Amino acid sequence: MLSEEKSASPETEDHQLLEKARQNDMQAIAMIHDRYYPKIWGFICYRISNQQVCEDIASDVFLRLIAQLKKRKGRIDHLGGWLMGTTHHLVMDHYRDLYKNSHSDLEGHSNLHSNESTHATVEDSIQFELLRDLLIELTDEQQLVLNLRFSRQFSLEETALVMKRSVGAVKLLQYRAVKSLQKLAKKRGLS
Amino acid sequence: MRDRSRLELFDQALTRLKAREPAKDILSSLPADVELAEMVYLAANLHTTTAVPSSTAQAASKQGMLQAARQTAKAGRGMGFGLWLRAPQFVLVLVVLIASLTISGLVSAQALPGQPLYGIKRSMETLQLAMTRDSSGKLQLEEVLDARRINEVIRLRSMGTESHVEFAGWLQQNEQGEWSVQGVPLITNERSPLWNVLLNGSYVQVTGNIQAEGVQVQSLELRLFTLDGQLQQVDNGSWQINGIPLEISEHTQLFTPLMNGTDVRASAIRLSNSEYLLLSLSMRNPAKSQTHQVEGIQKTISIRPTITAISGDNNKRVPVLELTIITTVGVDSTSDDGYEQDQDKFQETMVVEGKPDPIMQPADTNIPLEPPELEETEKGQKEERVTRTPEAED
Repeated sequence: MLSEEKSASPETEDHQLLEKARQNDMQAIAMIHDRYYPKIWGFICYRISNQQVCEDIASDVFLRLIAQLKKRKGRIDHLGGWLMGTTHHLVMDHYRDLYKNSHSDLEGHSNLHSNESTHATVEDSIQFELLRDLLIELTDEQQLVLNLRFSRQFSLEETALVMKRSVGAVKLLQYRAVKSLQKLAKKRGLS
Repeated sequence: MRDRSRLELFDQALTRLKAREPAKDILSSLPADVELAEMVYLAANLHTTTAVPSSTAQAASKQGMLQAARQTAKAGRGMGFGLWLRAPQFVLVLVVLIASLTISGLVSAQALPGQPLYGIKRSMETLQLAMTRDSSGKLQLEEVLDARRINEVIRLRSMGTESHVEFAGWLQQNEQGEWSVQGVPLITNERSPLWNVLLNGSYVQVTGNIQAEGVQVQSLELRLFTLDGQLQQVDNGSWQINGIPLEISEHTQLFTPLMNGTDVRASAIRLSNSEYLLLSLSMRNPAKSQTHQVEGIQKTISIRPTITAISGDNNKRVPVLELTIITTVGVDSTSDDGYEQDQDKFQETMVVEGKPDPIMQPADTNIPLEPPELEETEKGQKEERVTRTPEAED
Protein backbone atom coordinates (compact mmCIF):
# COMPACT_ATOMS: atom_id res chain seq x y z
CA MET A 1 0.00 0.00 0.00
CA LEU A 2 1.17 3.50 -0.75
CA SER A 3 2.33 5.71 2.02
CA GLU A 4 1.27 9.09 0.77
CA GLU A 5 2.26 12.24 2.54
CA LYS A 6 -0.30 13.42 4.95
CA SER A 7 -2.30 16.51 4.06
CA ALA A 8 -1.30 19.50 6.11
CA SER A 9 -4.84 20.75 6.27
CA PRO A 10 -7.70 18.42 7.07
CA GLU A 11 -10.84 18.95 5.08
CA THR A 12 -12.86 19.95 8.10
CA GLU A 13 -10.40 22.73 8.85
CA ASP A 14 -10.75 23.89 5.27
CA HIS A 15 -14.53 24.03 5.66
CA GLN A 16 -14.23 26.07 8.84
CA LEU A 17 -11.73 28.40 7.21
CA LEU A 18 -14.00 28.80 4.22
CA GLU A 19 -16.99 29.68 6.39
CA LYS A 20 -14.98 32.24 8.31
CA ALA A 21 -13.52 33.66 5.09
CA ARG A 22 -17.06 34.12 3.76
CA GLN A 23 -17.76 36.24 6.83
CA ASN A 24 -14.71 38.40 6.02
CA ASP A 25 -12.57 36.92 8.79
CA MET A 26 -9.14 38.26 7.79
CA GLN A 27 -7.32 35.75 9.93
CA ALA A 28 -9.01 32.83 8.19
CA ILE A 29 -8.25 34.36 4.80
CA ALA A 30 -4.60 34.73 5.77
CA MET A 31 -4.50 31.12 6.95
CA ILE A 32 -5.90 29.89 3.65
CA HIS A 33 -3.19 31.82 1.85
CA ASP A 34 -0.43 30.45 4.07
CA ARG A 35 -1.69 26.92 3.70
CA TYR A 36 -2.13 26.84 -0.05
CA TYR A 37 0.33 29.33 -1.52
CA PRO A 38 3.33 26.90 -1.59
CA LYS A 39 1.24 24.17 -3.20
CA ILE A 40 -0.19 26.51 -5.79
CA TRP A 41 3.16 28.09 -6.50
CA GLY A 42 4.77 24.66 -6.92
CA PHE A 43 1.91 23.57 -9.15
CA ILE A 44 2.39 26.58 -11.41
CA CYS A 45 6.16 26.46 -11.45
CA TYR A 46 6.07 22.83 -12.40
CA ARG A 47 4.63 23.95 -15.71
CA ILE A 48 5.93 27.47 -16.16
CA SER A 49 9.59 28.24 -15.83
CA ASN A 50 9.19 32.03 -15.66
CA GLN A 51 9.14 32.82 -11.97
CA GLN A 52 7.46 36.19 -12.38
CA VAL A 53 4.61 34.55 -14.28
CA CYS A 54 4.34 31.90 -11.53
CA GLU A 55 3.98 34.57 -8.87
CA ASP A 56 1.43 36.54 -10.91
CA ILE A 57 -0.73 33.48 -11.50
CA ALA A 58 -0.48 32.41 -7.84
CA SER A 59 -1.67 35.86 -6.70
CA ASP A 60 -4.44 35.80 -9.27
CA VAL A 61 -5.72 32.47 -7.91
CA PHE A 62 -6.20 33.96 -4.42
CA LEU A 63 -7.86 37.11 -5.76
CA ARG A 64 -10.29 34.89 -7.65
CA LEU A 65 -10.98 33.02 -4.44
CA ILE A 66 -11.97 36.28 -2.73
CA ALA A 67 -14.28 37.15 -5.62
CA GLN A 68 -15.79 33.65 -5.57
CA LEU A 69 -16.49 33.82 -1.83
CA LYS A 70 -18.78 36.80 -2.41
CA LYS A 71 -20.81 35.07 -5.08
CA ARG A 72 -24.01 33.40 -4.01
CA LYS A 73 -23.91 30.97 -6.91
CA GLY A 74 -21.21 28.34 -7.32
CA ARG A 75 -20.28 27.82 -3.68
CA ILE A 76 -16.94 26.19 -3.03
CA ASP A 77 -17.31 22.71 -1.58
CA HIS A 78 -13.68 21.65 -1.51
CA LEU A 79 -11.19 24.45 -1.04
CA GLY A 80 -8.09 22.56 -2.24
CA GLY A 81 -9.88 21.20 -5.25
CA TRP A 82 -11.26 24.58 -6.22
CA LEU A 83 -7.87 26.26 -5.87
CA MET A 84 -6.04 23.63 -7.92
CA GLY A 85 -8.75 23.57 -10.58
CA THR A 86 -8.57 27.34 -10.91
CA THR A 87 -4.78 27.25 -11.00
CA HIS A 88 -4.82 24.62 -13.73
CA HIS A 89 -7.20 26.73 -15.82
CA LEU A 90 -5.01 29.80 -15.39
CA VAL A 91 -1.91 27.82 -16.41
CA MET A 92 -3.71 26.55 -19.50
CA ASP A 93 -4.85 30.10 -20.26
CA HIS A 94 -1.24 31.19 -20.01
CA TYR A 95 -0.23 28.60 -22.60
CA ARG A 96 -3.09 29.55 -24.86
CA ASP A 97 -1.98 33.19 -24.69
CA LEU A 98 1.56 32.14 -25.50
CA TYR A 99 0.36 30.28 -28.58
CA LYS A 100 -1.81 33.21 -29.65
CA ASN A 101 0.99 35.72 -29.26
CA SER A 102 3.48 33.25 -30.76
CA HIS A 103 6.45 34.48 -28.85
CA SER A 104 8.78 32.72 -26.55
CA ASP A 105 9.31 34.57 -23.32
CA LEU A 106 12.82 33.79 -22.38
CA GLU A 107 13.16 36.51 -19.78
CA GLY A 108 13.18 35.23 -16.30
CA HIS A 109 13.97 31.70 -17.53
CA SER A 110 14.57 30.53 -14.86
CA ASN A 111 16.06 30.61 -11.46
CA LEU A 112 13.43 28.06 -10.62
CA HIS A 113 15.88 25.58 -9.27
CA SER A 114 17.98 28.01 -7.36
CA ASN A 115 16.74 26.49 -4.14
CA GLU A 116 16.96 22.92 -5.23
CA SER A 117 17.87 20.29 -2.78
CA THR A 118 21.44 19.18 -2.83
CA HIS A 119 20.88 15.94 -4.77
CA ALA A 120 19.30 17.72 -7.74
CA THR A 121 21.79 18.19 -10.47
CA VAL A 122 22.00 20.64 -13.33
CA GLU A 123 21.67 17.72 -15.70
CA ASP A 124 18.43 16.71 -14.08
CA SER A 125 17.20 20.23 -14.37
CA ILE A 126 17.95 20.39 -18.09
CA GLN A 127 16.27 17.04 -18.58
CA PHE A 128 13.23 18.29 -16.72
CA GLU A 129 13.05 21.48 -18.79
CA LEU A 130 13.04 19.37 -21.95
CA LEU A 131 10.31 17.12 -20.60
CA ARG A 132 8.24 20.06 -19.48
CA ASP A 133 8.12 21.29 -23.06
CA LEU A 134 6.59 17.96 -24.02
CA LEU A 135 3.92 18.10 -21.33
CA ILE A 136 1.85 20.52 -23.35
CA GLU A 137 1.39 17.84 -25.99
CA LEU A 138 -0.41 15.55 -23.55
CA THR A 139 -4.14 15.64 -22.99
CA ASP A 140 -5.51 18.15 -20.52
CA GLU A 141 -6.18 15.49 -17.89
CA GLN A 142 -2.78 13.87 -18.34
CA GLN A 143 -1.11 17.24 -17.85
CA LEU A 144 -3.16 17.87 -14.73
CA VAL A 145 -2.45 14.48 -13.16
CA LEU A 146 1.29 14.76 -13.75
CA ASN A 147 1.27 18.32 -12.48
CA LEU A 148 -0.56 17.38 -9.30
CA ARG A 149 1.40 14.24 -8.63
CA PHE A 150 4.90 15.29 -9.63
CA SER A 151 4.96 18.76 -8.21
CA ARG A 152 5.35 16.70 -4.99
CA GLN A 153 2.43 18.28 -3.32
CA PHE A 154 -0.52 16.01 -3.89
CA SER A 155 -1.24 12.53 -2.70
CA LEU A 156 -3.26 10.07 -4.78
CA GLU A 157 -6.32 10.82 -2.67
CA GLU A 158 -5.94 14.58 -3.01
CA THR A 159 -5.41 14.27 -6.74
CA ALA A 160 -8.50 12.09 -6.99
CA LEU A 161 -10.48 14.72 -5.10
CA VAL A 162 -9.30 17.58 -7.31
CA MET A 163 -9.92 15.63 -10.49
CA LYS A 164 -13.19 14.18 -9.22
CA ARG A 165 -11.98 10.67 -10.04
CA SER A 166 -11.36 7.50 -8.07
CA VAL A 167 -7.88 6.71 -6.74
CA GLY A 168 -7.67 3.76 -9.17
CA ALA A 169 -8.55 6.01 -12.08
CA VAL A 170 -5.85 8.46 -11.04
CA LYS A 171 -3.27 5.65 -10.89
CA LEU A 172 -4.20 4.54 -14.39
CA LEU A 173 -4.22 8.10 -15.68
CA GLN A 174 -0.78 8.90 -14.32
CA TYR A 175 0.61 5.65 -15.75
CA ARG A 176 -0.78 6.44 -19.20
CA ALA A 177 0.44 10.02 -18.95
CA VAL A 178 4.02 8.90 -18.22
CA LYS A 179 3.83 6.31 -20.98
CA SER A 180 2.64 8.93 -23.48
CA LEU A 181 5.37 11.28 -22.35
CA GLN A 182 7.92 8.50 -22.77
CA LYS A 183 6.77 7.93 -26.36
CA LEU A 184 6.98 11.64 -27.09
CA ALA A 185 10.45 11.79 -25.55
CA LYS A 186 11.61 8.86 -27.70
CA LYS A 187 10.19 10.56 -30.76
CA ARG A 188 12.24 13.66 -29.96
CA GLY A 189 15.31 11.62 -29.08
CA LEU A 190 15.26 12.66 -25.44
CA SER A 191 15.15 9.30 -23.79
CA MET B 1 4.84 -8.19 -18.51
CA ARG B 2 1.20 -7.49 -18.23
CA ASP B 3 0.15 -3.83 -18.16
CA ARG B 4 -1.80 -4.35 -14.95
CA SER B 5 1.16 -5.61 -12.95
CA ARG B 6 3.36 -2.97 -14.56
CA LEU B 7 0.86 -0.37 -13.42
CA GLU B 8 1.14 -1.61 -9.83
CA LEU B 9 4.93 -1.78 -9.97
CA PHE B 10 5.10 1.71 -11.44
CA ASP B 11 2.90 3.00 -8.64
CA GLN B 12 5.23 1.43 -6.07
CA ALA B 13 8.21 2.99 -7.83
CA LEU B 14 6.55 6.43 -7.75
CA THR B 15 6.01 6.15 -4.02
CA ARG B 16 9.65 5.31 -3.47
CA LEU B 17 10.72 8.13 -5.78
CA LYS B 18 8.66 10.49 -3.61
CA ALA B 19 10.62 9.19 -0.66
CA ARG B 20 13.75 10.36 -2.55
CA GLU B 21 15.04 6.86 -3.24
CA PRO B 22 17.29 6.80 -6.34
CA ALA B 23 15.68 5.31 -9.46
CA LYS B 24 18.56 2.85 -9.87
CA ASP B 25 17.96 1.35 -6.42
CA ILE B 26 14.25 1.11 -7.00
CA LEU B 27 14.66 -0.69 -10.31
CA SER B 28 17.17 -3.15 -8.88
CA SER B 29 14.51 -4.42 -6.51
CA LEU B 30 11.90 -4.74 -9.23
CA PRO B 31 11.58 -7.46 -11.90
CA ALA B 32 13.57 -6.66 -15.03
CA ASP B 33 11.36 -4.74 -17.45
CA VAL B 34 12.86 -2.32 -19.97
CA GLU B 35 9.67 -0.37 -20.50
CA LEU B 36 9.05 -0.03 -16.77
CA ALA B 37 12.63 1.07 -16.24
CA GLU B 38 12.32 3.78 -18.88
CA MET B 39 9.11 5.05 -17.28
CA VAL B 40 10.67 5.12 -13.81
CA TYR B 41 13.69 7.07 -15.06
CA LEU B 42 11.37 9.50 -16.81
CA ALA B 43 9.25 9.87 -13.66
CA ALA B 44 12.45 10.50 -11.69
CA ASN B 45 13.20 13.37 -14.03
CA LEU B 46 9.70 14.72 -13.57
CA HIS B 47 10.31 14.82 -9.85
CA THR B 48 13.21 17.20 -10.01
CA THR B 49 11.37 20.35 -9.01
CA THR B 50 11.82 21.08 -5.38
CA ALA B 51 11.83 24.84 -5.60
CA VAL B 52 10.20 26.89 -2.86
CA PRO B 53 8.45 30.19 -3.42
CA SER B 54 10.19 33.38 -2.53
CA SER B 55 9.00 34.72 0.80
CA THR B 56 8.70 38.25 -0.65
CA ALA B 57 6.38 37.05 -3.39
CA GLN B 58 4.34 35.06 -0.90
CA ALA B 59 3.98 38.06 1.44
CA ALA B 60 3.02 40.35 -1.44
CA SER B 61 0.39 37.86 -2.63
CA LYS B 62 -1.00 37.60 0.92
CA GLN B 63 -1.20 41.37 1.24
CA GLY B 64 -2.98 41.59 -2.09
CA MET B 65 -5.48 38.94 -1.08
CA LEU B 66 -6.23 40.57 2.28
CA GLN B 67 -6.59 43.98 0.67
CA ALA B 68 -9.02 42.56 -1.89
CA ALA B 69 -10.97 40.87 0.91
CA ARG B 70 -11.17 44.13 2.88
CA GLN B 71 -12.34 46.04 -0.18
CA THR B 72 -14.97 43.42 -0.95
CA ALA B 73 -16.18 43.45 2.65
CA LYS B 74 -16.32 47.25 2.62
CA ALA B 75 -18.15 47.27 -0.70
CA GLY B 76 -20.62 44.71 0.68
CA ARG B 77 -21.26 46.79 3.79
CA GLY B 78 -21.45 49.95 1.70
CA MET B 79 -23.98 48.38 -0.62
CA GLY B 80 -26.14 47.30 2.31
CA PHE B 81 -26.00 50.68 3.93
CA GLY B 82 -26.52 52.38 0.58
CA LEU B 83 -29.57 50.28 -0.07
CA TRP B 84 -30.99 51.27 3.29
CA LEU B 85 -30.26 54.87 2.43
CA ARG B 86 -31.75 54.56 -1.00
CA ALA B 87 -34.84 52.62 0.10
CA PRO B 88 -36.81 55.76 1.06
CA GLN B 89 -35.82 57.28 -2.28
CA PHE B 90 -37.22 54.27 -4.13
CA VAL B 91 -40.42 54.44 -2.10
CA LEU B 92 -40.67 58.17 -2.77
CA VAL B 93 -40.19 57.71 -6.51
CA LEU B 94 -42.78 54.93 -6.49
CA VAL B 95 -45.28 57.04 -4.54
CA VAL B 96 -44.73 60.02 -6.87
CA LEU B 97 -45.16 57.76 -9.90
CA ILE B 98 -48.37 56.21 -8.59
CA ALA B 99 -49.68 59.60 -7.48
CA SER B 100 -48.92 61.23 -10.80
CA LEU B 101 -50.58 58.39 -12.67
CA THR B 102 -53.62 58.55 -10.40
CA ILE B 103 -53.86 62.35 -10.59
CA SER B 104 -53.39 62.43 -14.36
CA GLY B 105 -55.99 59.67 -14.61
CA LEU B 106 -58.44 61.60 -12.43
CA VAL B 107 -57.77 64.92 -14.14
CA SER B 108 -57.93 63.41 -17.59
CA ALA B 109 -61.24 61.75 -16.66
CA GLN B 110 -62.83 65.18 -16.95
CA ALA B 111 -61.03 66.03 -20.18
CA LEU B 112 -63.06 66.74 -23.30
CA PRO B 113 -62.16 66.24 -26.96
CA GLY B 114 -59.70 68.89 -28.08
CA GLN B 115 -58.19 69.30 -24.60
CA PRO B 116 -54.57 68.30 -23.89
CA LEU B 117 -55.37 65.50 -21.44
CA TYR B 118 -57.99 63.92 -23.65
CA GLY B 119 -55.39 61.73 -25.33
CA ILE B 120 -54.36 60.31 -21.93
CA LYS B 121 -57.96 59.64 -21.08
CA ARG B 122 -58.56 57.71 -24.31
CA SER B 123 -55.26 55.82 -23.95
CA MET B 124 -56.19 54.71 -20.45
CA GLU B 125 -59.59 53.61 -21.69
CA THR B 126 -58.01 51.65 -24.52
CA LEU B 127 -55.64 50.00 -22.06
CA GLN B 128 -58.50 49.18 -19.72
CA LEU B 129 -60.44 47.66 -22.61
CA ALA B 130 -57.43 45.66 -23.77
CA MET B 131 -56.90 44.30 -20.27
CA THR B 132 -60.48 43.10 -19.99
CA ARG B 133 -60.51 39.49 -21.16
CA ASP B 134 -64.08 38.52 -20.46
CA SER B 135 -66.50 39.30 -23.29
CA SER B 136 -69.28 40.18 -20.93
CA GLY B 137 -67.06 42.52 -18.94
CA LYS B 138 -65.76 44.04 -22.16
CA LEU B 139 -69.28 44.78 -23.34
CA GLN B 140 -70.15 46.38 -20.02
CA LEU B 141 -67.04 48.50 -20.24
CA GLU B 142 -67.83 49.47 -23.83
CA GLU B 143 -71.28 50.52 -22.65
CA VAL B 144 -69.73 52.72 -19.95
CA LEU B 145 -67.33 54.24 -22.45
CA ASP B 146 -70.14 54.89 -24.94
CA ALA B 147 -72.09 56.67 -22.20
CA ARG B 148 -68.96 58.69 -21.43
CA ARG B 149 -68.66 59.78 -25.09
CA ILE B 150 -72.31 60.87 -25.10
CA ASN B 151 -71.73 62.81 -21.90
CA GLU B 152 -68.76 64.55 -23.51
CA VAL B 153 -70.87 65.57 -26.49
CA ILE B 154 -73.56 66.99 -24.21
CA ARG B 155 -70.98 68.93 -22.19
CA LEU B 156 -69.29 70.29 -25.32
CA ARG B 157 -72.65 71.39 -26.69
CA SER B 158 -73.54 73.15 -23.44
CA MET B 159 -70.16 74.91 -23.52
CA GLY B 160 -70.74 75.91 -27.12
CA THR B 161 -67.45 74.33 -28.17
CA GLU B 162 -67.16 73.21 -31.75
CA SER B 163 -65.25 69.99 -31.82
CA HIS B 164 -64.92 66.76 -33.70
CA VAL B 165 -66.61 63.94 -31.80
CA GLU B 166 -67.19 60.23 -32.11
CA PHE B 167 -69.91 58.54 -30.14
CA ALA B 168 -72.33 55.63 -30.20
CA GLY B 169 -75.88 55.01 -29.10
CA TRP B 170 -79.40 54.23 -30.13
CA LEU B 171 -80.58 56.06 -33.26
CA GLN B 172 -84.06 57.47 -33.02
CA GLN B 173 -86.38 59.55 -35.13
CA ASN B 174 -89.12 61.63 -33.57
CA GLU B 175 -92.53 62.40 -34.96
CA GLN B 176 -91.21 65.52 -36.67
CA GLY B 177 -88.70 63.34 -38.49
CA GLU B 178 -85.72 64.67 -36.54
CA TRP B 179 -82.95 62.22 -35.79
CA SER B 180 -81.01 61.89 -32.60
CA VAL B 181 -78.60 59.51 -30.87
CA GLN B 182 -79.17 59.18 -27.14
CA GLY B 183 -80.84 62.59 -27.17
CA VAL B 184 -78.07 64.28 -29.14
CA PRO B 185 -79.69 65.84 -32.23
CA LEU B 186 -78.17 64.93 -35.57
CA ILE B 187 -78.02 67.49 -38.33
CA THR B 188 -76.98 66.96 -41.90
CA ASN B 189 -75.61 69.04 -44.72
CA GLU B 190 -74.78 68.26 -48.35
CA ARG B 191 -71.70 66.25 -47.32
CA SER B 192 -73.50 64.17 -44.72
CA PRO B 193 -74.42 60.61 -45.59
CA LEU B 194 -78.05 59.74 -45.92
CA TRP B 195 -79.25 56.79 -43.94
CA ASN B 196 -82.31 54.71 -44.28
CA VAL B 197 -85.33 55.14 -42.12
CA LEU B 198 -85.07 51.50 -41.24
CA LEU B 199 -82.01 52.21 -39.16
CA ASN B 200 -84.34 53.85 -36.66
CA GLY B 201 -83.83 52.07 -33.37
CA SER B 202 -80.41 50.70 -34.29
CA TYR B 203 -77.30 51.01 -32.23
CA VAL B 204 -75.03 53.19 -34.34
CA GLN B 205 -71.63 54.80 -34.33
CA VAL B 206 -71.55 58.46 -35.32
CA THR B 207 -68.70 60.81 -36.13
CA GLY B 208 -69.24 64.47 -36.72
CA ASN B 209 -68.71 68.03 -35.61
CA ILE B 210 -70.57 69.69 -32.77
CA GLN B 211 -72.68 72.64 -33.87
CA ALA B 212 -75.11 74.77 -31.89
CA GLU B 213 -78.07 72.77 -33.18
CA GLY B 214 -76.53 69.37 -32.71
CA VAL B 215 -73.91 67.15 -34.25
CA GLN B 216 -73.33 67.58 -37.95
CA VAL B 217 -72.95 64.00 -39.11
CA GLN B 218 -69.89 62.96 -41.10
CA SER B 219 -70.48 59.23 -40.87
CA LEU B 220 -73.15 57.00 -39.40
CA GLU B 221 -72.66 53.27 -39.23
CA LEU B 222 -74.10 50.32 -37.40
CA ARG B 223 -71.92 49.52 -34.43
CA LEU B 224 -70.27 46.12 -34.74
CA PHE B 225 -69.35 44.14 -31.64
CA THR B 226 -66.85 41.31 -31.38
CA LEU B 227 -67.65 38.63 -28.85
CA ASP B 228 -65.06 36.08 -27.79
CA GLY B 229 -65.87 33.18 -25.53
CA GLN B 230 -67.55 29.85 -25.06
CA LEU B 231 -70.69 29.05 -26.95
CA GLN B 232 -73.46 27.73 -24.73
CA GLN B 233 -77.00 26.64 -25.36
CA VAL B 234 -79.48 27.54 -22.67
CA ASP B 235 -82.62 25.69 -21.66
CA ASN B 236 -84.97 27.46 -24.07
CA GLY B 237 -82.74 26.45 -27.00
CA SER B 238 -81.22 29.88 -27.55
CA TRP B 239 -77.49 30.41 -27.64
CA GLN B 240 -75.15 32.52 -25.57
CA ILE B 241 -71.50 33.46 -25.62
CA ASN B 242 -70.18 33.85 -22.09
CA GLY B 243 -73.72 34.49 -20.91
CA ILE B 244 -74.49 37.11 -23.57
CA PRO B 245 -77.77 36.19 -25.30
CA LEU B 246 -77.58 35.87 -29.07
CA GLU B 247 -80.20 35.89 -31.76
CA ILE B 248 -79.31 33.73 -34.71
CA SER B 249 -81.01 34.34 -38.02
CA GLU B 250 -80.78 32.22 -41.13
CA HIS B 251 -78.44 34.84 -42.54
CA THR B 252 -75.97 34.33 -39.75
CA GLN B 253 -72.82 33.01 -41.31
CA LEU B 254 -71.67 30.01 -39.37
CA PHE B 255 -68.09 29.03 -40.07
CA THR B 256 -68.22 26.53 -37.24
CA PRO B 257 -71.14 24.36 -36.20
CA LEU B 258 -73.17 25.44 -33.19
CA MET B 259 -71.77 23.23 -30.46
CA ASN B 260 -71.86 23.63 -26.72
CA GLY B 261 -68.52 24.59 -25.21
CA THR B 262 -66.87 25.65 -28.47
CA ASP B 263 -64.42 28.50 -28.15
CA VAL B 264 -65.71 31.00 -30.67
CA ARG B 265 -65.38 34.53 -31.99
CA ALA B 266 -68.54 36.22 -33.15
CA SER B 267 -69.39 39.49 -34.78
CA ALA B 268 -72.74 40.92 -33.84
CA ILE B 269 -74.87 44.00 -33.82
CA ARG B 270 -76.84 45.14 -30.83
CA LEU B 271 -80.55 44.52 -30.81
CA SER B 272 -81.32 45.69 -27.32
CA ASN B 273 -79.49 46.43 -24.13
CA SER B 274 -78.85 42.79 -23.55
CA GLU B 275 -79.38 41.02 -26.86
CA TYR B 276 -77.22 40.75 -29.93
CA LEU B 277 -77.89 39.62 -33.47
CA LEU B 278 -75.20 37.25 -34.58
CA LEU B 279 -73.72 38.06 -37.99
CA SER B 280 -70.90 35.56 -38.16
CA LEU B 281 -69.44 32.88 -35.97
CA SER B 282 -66.05 31.22 -36.25
CA MET B 283 -63.64 29.19 -34.15
CA ARG B 284 -61.49 31.42 -31.99
CA ASN B 285 -58.48 29.11 -32.08
CA PRO B 286 -58.82 26.95 -35.19
CA ALA B 287 -55.29 25.49 -34.83
CA LYS B 288 -56.42 23.47 -31.81
CA SER B 289 -59.45 22.17 -33.59
CA GLN B 290 -59.98 19.46 -36.15
CA THR B 291 -62.50 21.62 -37.96
CA HIS B 292 -61.58 23.66 -40.97
CA GLN B 293 -59.91 26.97 -40.58
CA VAL B 294 -61.82 29.84 -42.03
CA GLU B 295 -60.22 33.11 -42.75
CA GLY B 296 -60.30 36.04 -45.08
CA ILE B 297 -63.94 36.85 -44.63
CA GLN B 298 -64.94 39.93 -46.52
CA LYS B 299 -68.45 41.22 -46.31
CA THR B 300 -70.01 43.97 -48.32
CA ILE B 301 -73.53 44.93 -47.55
CA SER B 302 -75.18 46.99 -50.15
CA ILE B 303 -78.54 48.49 -49.32
CA ARG B 304 -80.44 49.40 -52.43
CA PRO B 305 -83.86 50.76 -51.60
CA THR B 306 -86.33 50.37 -54.43
CA ILE B 307 -90.01 51.25 -54.71
CA THR B 308 -91.14 48.30 -56.69
CA ALA B 309 -92.71 45.93 -54.33
CA ILE B 310 -96.39 45.73 -53.71
CA SER B 311 -97.30 44.65 -50.30
CA GLY B 312 -100.35 44.20 -48.22
CA ASP B 313 -103.89 43.62 -49.32
CA ASN B 314 -104.46 47.16 -50.45
CA ASN B 315 -101.87 46.96 -53.26
CA LYS B 316 -100.13 50.00 -51.88
CA ARG B 317 -96.63 50.71 -53.25
CA VAL B 318 -94.14 50.95 -50.49
CA PRO B 319 -90.36 51.25 -50.48
CA VAL B 320 -88.65 47.96 -50.14
CA LEU B 321 -85.11 47.63 -48.85
CA GLU B 322 -83.00 45.13 -50.67
CA LEU B 323 -79.84 44.01 -49.03
CA THR B 324 -77.29 42.20 -51.08
CA ILE B 325 -74.70 40.47 -48.96
CA ILE B 326 -71.65 39.38 -50.88
CA THR B 327 -69.37 37.32 -48.80
CA THR B 328 -65.99 36.10 -49.95
CA VAL B 329 -64.72 33.31 -47.83
CA GLY B 330 -61.24 31.86 -48.03
CA VAL B 331 -61.37 28.32 -46.75
CA ASP B 332 -58.13 26.70 -45.71
CA SER B 333 -58.47 23.03 -45.23
CA THR B 334 -55.96 20.32 -44.57
CA SER B 335 -56.58 17.07 -46.30
CA ASP B 336 -54.58 13.91 -46.68
CA ASP B 337 -53.27 15.17 -49.98
CA GLY B 338 -51.88 18.30 -48.46
CA TYR B 339 -52.89 21.85 -48.17
CA GLU B 340 -55.70 23.21 -50.21
CA GLN B 341 -57.23 26.60 -50.43
CA ASP B 342 -60.58 27.48 -51.90
CA GLN B 343 -62.39 30.70 -52.26
CA ASP B 344 -66.11 30.77 -52.57
CA LYS B 345 -68.35 33.66 -53.10
CA PHE B 346 -71.82 33.69 -51.67
CA GLN B 347 -74.48 36.14 -52.59
CA GLU B 348 -77.60 36.54 -50.57
CA THR B 349 -80.40 38.94 -50.96
CA MET B 350 -82.73 40.07 -48.26
CA VAL B 351 -85.70 42.07 -49.25
CA VAL B 352 -87.24 44.06 -46.51
CA GLU B 353 -90.12 46.42 -46.64
CA GLY B 354 -89.82 49.87 -45.15
CA LYS B 355 -92.43 52.43 -44.55
CA PRO B 356 -92.56 55.62 -46.62
CA ASP B 357 -90.37 58.32 -45.22
CA PRO B 358 -91.83 61.76 -45.75
CA ILE B 359 -88.77 63.58 -44.47
CA MET B 360 -85.76 61.79 -45.85
CA GLN B 361 -85.60 60.31 -49.26
CA PRO B 362 -83.49 57.17 -48.98
CA ALA B 363 -80.53 56.98 -51.28
CA ASP B 364 -77.99 54.29 -52.12
CA THR B 365 -75.98 53.82 -48.98
CA ASN B 366 -73.12 51.46 -48.53
CA ILE B 367 -72.77 50.43 -44.94
CA PRO B 368 -69.56 48.56 -44.42
CA LEU B 369 -71.00 46.56 -41.60
CA GLU B 370 -73.48 43.88 -41.10
CA PRO B 371 -77.15 44.30 -41.87
CA PRO B 372 -79.40 45.97 -39.36
CA GLU B 373 -82.16 44.09 -37.67
CA LEU B 374 -84.34 43.38 -40.60
CA GLU B 375 -86.74 40.58 -41.30
CA GLU B 376 -86.66 38.80 -44.54
CA THR B 377 -89.76 38.67 -46.61
CA GLU B 378 -90.96 35.93 -48.78
CA LYS B 379 -92.92 36.20 -51.97
CA GLY B 380 -96.59 36.01 -51.51
CA GLN B 381 -96.31 36.51 -47.81
CA LYS B 382 -97.70 39.52 -46.08
CA GLU B 383 -94.82 41.86 -45.43
CA GLU B 384 -94.56 43.80 -42.29
CA ARG B 385 -92.04 46.34 -41.33
CA VAL B 386 -90.02 45.36 -38.34
CA THR B 387 -88.49 48.12 -36.36
CA ARG B 388 -86.66 47.40 -33.21
CA THR B 389 -86.67 49.99 -30.55
CA PRO B 390 -84.34 50.16 -27.63
CA GLU B 391 -85.75 48.73 -24.51
CA ALA B 392 -84.23 51.43 -22.42
CA GLU B 393 -82.06 54.40 -22.99
CA ASP B 394 -78.69 54.73 -21.37
